Amino acid sequence: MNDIKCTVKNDRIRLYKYETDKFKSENISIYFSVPFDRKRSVARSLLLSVLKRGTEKYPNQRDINMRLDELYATLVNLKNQKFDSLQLLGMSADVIYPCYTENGEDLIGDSLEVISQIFLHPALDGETGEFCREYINGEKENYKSIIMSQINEPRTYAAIRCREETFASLGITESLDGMCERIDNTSSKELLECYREMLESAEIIVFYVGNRDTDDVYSQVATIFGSDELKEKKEKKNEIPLLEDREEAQVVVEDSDISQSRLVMSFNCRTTWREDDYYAMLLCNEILGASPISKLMVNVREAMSLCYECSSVYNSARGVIFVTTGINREDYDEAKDAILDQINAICEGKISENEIFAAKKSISNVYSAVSDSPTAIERFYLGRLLNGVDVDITEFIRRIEELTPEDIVRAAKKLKPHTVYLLRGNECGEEELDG
Amino acid sequence: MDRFSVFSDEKLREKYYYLKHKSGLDIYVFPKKMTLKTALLGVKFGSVYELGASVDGEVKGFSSGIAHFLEHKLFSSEDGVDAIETLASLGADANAYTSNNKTVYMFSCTENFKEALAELIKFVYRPYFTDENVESEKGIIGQEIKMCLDSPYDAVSQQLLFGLYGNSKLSVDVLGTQESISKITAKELYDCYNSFYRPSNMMLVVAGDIDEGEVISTVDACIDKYNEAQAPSLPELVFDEAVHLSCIEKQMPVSMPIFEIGIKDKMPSKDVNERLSRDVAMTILDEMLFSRAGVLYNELFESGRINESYSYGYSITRDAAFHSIYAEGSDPMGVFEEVKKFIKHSKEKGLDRNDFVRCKRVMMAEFIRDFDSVDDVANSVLNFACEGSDVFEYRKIIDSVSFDDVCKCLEDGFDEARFTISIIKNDTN
Repeated sequence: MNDIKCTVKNDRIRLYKYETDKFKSENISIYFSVPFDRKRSVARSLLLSVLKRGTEKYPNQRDINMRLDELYATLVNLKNQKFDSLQLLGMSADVIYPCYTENGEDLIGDSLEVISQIFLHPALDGETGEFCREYINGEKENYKSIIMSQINEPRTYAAIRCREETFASLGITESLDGMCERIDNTSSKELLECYREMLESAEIIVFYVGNRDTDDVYSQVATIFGSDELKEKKEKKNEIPLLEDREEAQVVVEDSDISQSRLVMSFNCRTTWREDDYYAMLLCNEILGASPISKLMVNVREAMSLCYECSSVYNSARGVIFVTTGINREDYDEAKDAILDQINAICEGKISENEIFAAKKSISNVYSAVSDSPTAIERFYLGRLLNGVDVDITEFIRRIEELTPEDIVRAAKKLKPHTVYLLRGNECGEEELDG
Repeated sequence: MDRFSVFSDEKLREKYYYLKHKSGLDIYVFPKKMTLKTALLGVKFGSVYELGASVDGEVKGFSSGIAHFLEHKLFSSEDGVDAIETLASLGADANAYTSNNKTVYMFSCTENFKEALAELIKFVYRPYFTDENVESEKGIIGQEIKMCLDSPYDAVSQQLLFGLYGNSKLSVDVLGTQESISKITAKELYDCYNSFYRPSNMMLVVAGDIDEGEVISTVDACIDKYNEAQAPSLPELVFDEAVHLSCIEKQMPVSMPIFEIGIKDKMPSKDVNERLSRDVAMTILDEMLFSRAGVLYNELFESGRINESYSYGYSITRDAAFHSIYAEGSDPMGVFEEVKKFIKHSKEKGLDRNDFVRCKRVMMAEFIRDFDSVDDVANSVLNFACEGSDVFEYRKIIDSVSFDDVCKCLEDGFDEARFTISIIKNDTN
């Protein structure tokens, strides 16, 4: 890819740099890359939070945050990302350029120093050599409360439940209570094992967006993390299982004391980002329910007035499309049928030129604007770079624009209803109207 | 050809162009070397002014929720083609929102900007309401109201406004209620539109890699008839110094209590620069008192009384000003008492000058970062324009605010009677 420069030395640190002078700050993400292991996923999430609670030099969170404030509010965010068989654990820092500081201070070195403290010099119990018990317990409670808060918003909860029911056969999701149990059962010893694993065997991936000289960025990172060779490079290729089609969609209904019922439907397409038909499926999803003039919005919302929002989301990692909407309880059958009708319409080729044009433009708008955001830049390129997908933004847009109506129909015909999840609210008139 | 005035800020390395169009419309063009271009057309009409405004010498009131209803209906056209669809066919993504003091129509695109801008102006300036299209919208907005009623996050904020201001237009939901929107007719929409959607009451902000000459020529071509009527005179709202209720609770199915603490500030000054100065000083003060680098947050978090879902802020407009702190935890009233104690203690002990320097730096850095997004820049310019002020003036005020200014803010605010808490909890919490 022409937009990204890659620098690798000694197999330990791999730096990807996107050159730009558009922004008032430079953005650097530093990751430890480890093979994905589902059994370790909770421990690894907890590990990052515990690391950020305190270090040798900055013993508590307040000290860390005050130091970052002094560095012109350098934003440091925890990052935990999965790319197929790899998991990246790390942090990103957004650092204001010297010309915007009072005295022209160059903040990158000091910002990386804070990150190095967090990664390499965490606050440990002097006697046991483990992470501080207080920090572990505090972060466990925090993590559990964030997990459980997903029930608060009916939209979010319904989406999670449909996802749970859809992927149940793959064993890759678990209930909120199940997650909390795993958090409780994560031991201090396990956290320490994850930490050592990360330091000893992980490749360090750096993604930089800005206009600093590449060698300068590399040497700053190498100063902190060292440029020794990896002690042991572990590689693990996981086969990503796909969902099997169902003969008939399963229906799951839960009752809740809410005004508006939430309907979420999943459709299995078995087309992931690795497949040739990925672009066609992306466009199909846009036409179906991802743009403001999608079939779901125009027909289910505007024409039938059944809902305020009705949209679809394409999970390209697993090859599943989710349709979500909020409706009156008594409109469930009508809404469900209306949603299926939109998919059938696409399968029958009932797509206007304008719909196709608008959908293509909507996607190309979003991807053209990737270069306007450091976060979007990293999100687009990093996964592709790590998985050897040599497609830059120009090529991506070209592949969308050359799609034909036949491509879209072919993609739509792959959609098989899998799960219908209804979070059933009160009947109209039962709810307390806001006075 | 009209001439733009140029405003620039050397420290930010930014500039924008401003012009008062002959129709009365205020136009701002903010050049940014970004791929995305964005345009916002704003009207100084929101839910607060539904209560009543002086229009051509007559005081008029409208149905609650009509500002938002109007926002939905303006996308309809006589030829039956929704404006969102027309803009989408140009490759532009359109949207709109209504708040308590304004309604904004917007789009973003990477090409066909002139054509999309023309469409934006045309659809906002050409209302088309029929009894039929009004009735069908009631179903859609009815669902939107229900969706928001089910959200504890919307509920906690809405309830906070009631706790602060009682039954005033500030605390009424922008969406209205099922009952209030059921009464809206096409006639009322036209009446409302004609009262408020006048160029003298509107502003256009564009941001991106755009030529200002193209913007003015597009506006000239689209606004050929001028409604020279004066902008409506918007009512002045007056509130008591004390809050309406010190505590307000609601039951909803949440996993743990969520709550928002509100601290009413004194009535804002009529002078826009004084309001800006207070905004800056109070924002820095909030950073000193409530930030994640502060004593209060860390004590509450480390003791497990709140989790990391936490935010705070200061809001000031022409009509009202208040601080808010959002948090989640099992003992909202306990946290409320701690916050009050902490502020009392801070008043007695005084503020730390080093903290002031640090927090001022944070505020400046966050302000600088806003200029890295065309959407953020455009919205910032629009918000300042609505208040009659200027985005670069804000930067100068941040530079010039003193430690004494911030100390004074702590001294003359935060009385006990000004505190309220809005709590959402489950009956089992």
